[in-house]
Amino acid sequence: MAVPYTRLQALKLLLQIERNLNGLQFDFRANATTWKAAAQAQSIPRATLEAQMNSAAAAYQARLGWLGTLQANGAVWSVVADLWTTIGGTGAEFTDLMTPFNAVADGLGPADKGTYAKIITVCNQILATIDVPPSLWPE
Amino acid sequence: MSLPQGIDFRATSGYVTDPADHTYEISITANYPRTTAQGNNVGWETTSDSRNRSTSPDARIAGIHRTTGTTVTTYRIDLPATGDYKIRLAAGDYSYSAGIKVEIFDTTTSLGIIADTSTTASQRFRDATDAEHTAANWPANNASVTKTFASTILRAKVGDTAGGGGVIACLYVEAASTTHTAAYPDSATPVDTQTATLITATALGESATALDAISAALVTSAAYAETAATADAYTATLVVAGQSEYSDTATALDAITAALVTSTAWADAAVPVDSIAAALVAQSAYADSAAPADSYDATLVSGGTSSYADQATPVDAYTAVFIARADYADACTAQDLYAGALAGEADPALRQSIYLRLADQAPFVRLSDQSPIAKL
Repeated sequence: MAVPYTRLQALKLLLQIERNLNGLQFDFRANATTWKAAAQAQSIPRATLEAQMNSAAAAYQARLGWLGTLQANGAVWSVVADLWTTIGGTGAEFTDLMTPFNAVADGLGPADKGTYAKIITVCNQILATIDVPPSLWPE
Repeated sequence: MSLPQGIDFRATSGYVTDPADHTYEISITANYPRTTAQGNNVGWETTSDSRNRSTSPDARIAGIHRTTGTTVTTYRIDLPATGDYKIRLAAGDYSYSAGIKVEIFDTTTSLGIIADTSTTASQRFRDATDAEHTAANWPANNASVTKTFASTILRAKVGDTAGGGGVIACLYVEAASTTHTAAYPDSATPVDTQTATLITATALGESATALDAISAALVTSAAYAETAATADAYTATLVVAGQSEYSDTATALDAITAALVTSTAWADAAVPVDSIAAALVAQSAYADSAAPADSYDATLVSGGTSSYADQATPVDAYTAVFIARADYADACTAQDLYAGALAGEADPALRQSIYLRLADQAPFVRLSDQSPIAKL
């Protein structure tokens, strides 16, 4: 007997989306802060730091891509979207959140990281684009 | 994603400073996925508990995450690709002896328990081979274990469903080197030599065969290097002489042909007989289809003082004699022979009358009462 797809599964997906996107916002800032400190102290070889930043860009894109894959599944996404609207959410909210996230993830890889100073510039741009995520307790 | 990636488990991020390629893990709730500063997606998939222990030892073992009782918690590290990976472990508690069990999974497939023995005291840590080290000894002497992953998900399960809990201080993953970077060591085969020659486009280095020489000659249009066959001699002669562009499959006869061609403008399909014809041509402007008999003609023509041009026959030999002796131009017949006997009588009519005179008299009558010889 096939297991029906219900709002229960949709709730799990919605919670995963929440963890993924809220976590991504946190990681954008946390990693940019870490890289900036390493560049300022020159404690990590520049090439190593550049490689790590490029790897993070790929990891960010992978996490954002999961949402796109889910949205492409019409049968599943419709139930998720229905649940989202049930709690008052809108499609525009996803768009508003995804736009700056995609800009950071897509721009980080190609950004010029040829010097420590340029790495610091890239990190400052990320910190200026992504606000501190709200949290009940200090994170 | 790129490795190596070290995860240092503790309660707060700023407690100590992590070494290069390491990041802290302070979450006690499920927090996968989170992207580390090294660019890897990691995180707890279930809950755990955390502690800061001491800033005295190596920063990697300054704190812990733990489970109690029969709880098993899972930590996930996404790998950049399938393949072999080296895993290092510090399972222990700087402050207490502890129950230890750490099992590695390839997504959901167990790759084995890498540490399964409780530590004997505080400041003791089990490495990835379940060997116990002191806190001071672990950094330089912990041994790694290599596991092969068919997926890109590494899961480390900490704790024991049989009870006793589990503790982890540090988990470290790096790619195991499996690719060959040196020269290709396989045993070359003859085919490889040929392949190499084609690739390098340099002089042919393989053991040349007869066919190769022919190919090379055709390609380079240089000197002919194969073991020549007899037939080739004719070919070469015709080609090398450069006197004609004779390019068919040469035969022995062609040598004669070439000789004929070079000496005259004789261009038909030459045959041996033609050599005679060529001689005839060379001596005069004789252009008809020469036949052996023509040799007689030629003699007649060349010896004569007049231009005799009819279809000569052997009889003409006699005729020519007559012609040579007199200005006799009529169509001579055999009877002319008799007429010729009276050559001293220049008048043809007279000779004929003599003939007639003989005719109106019964030659035999006259001759019967007279000796014909006397009459005459």
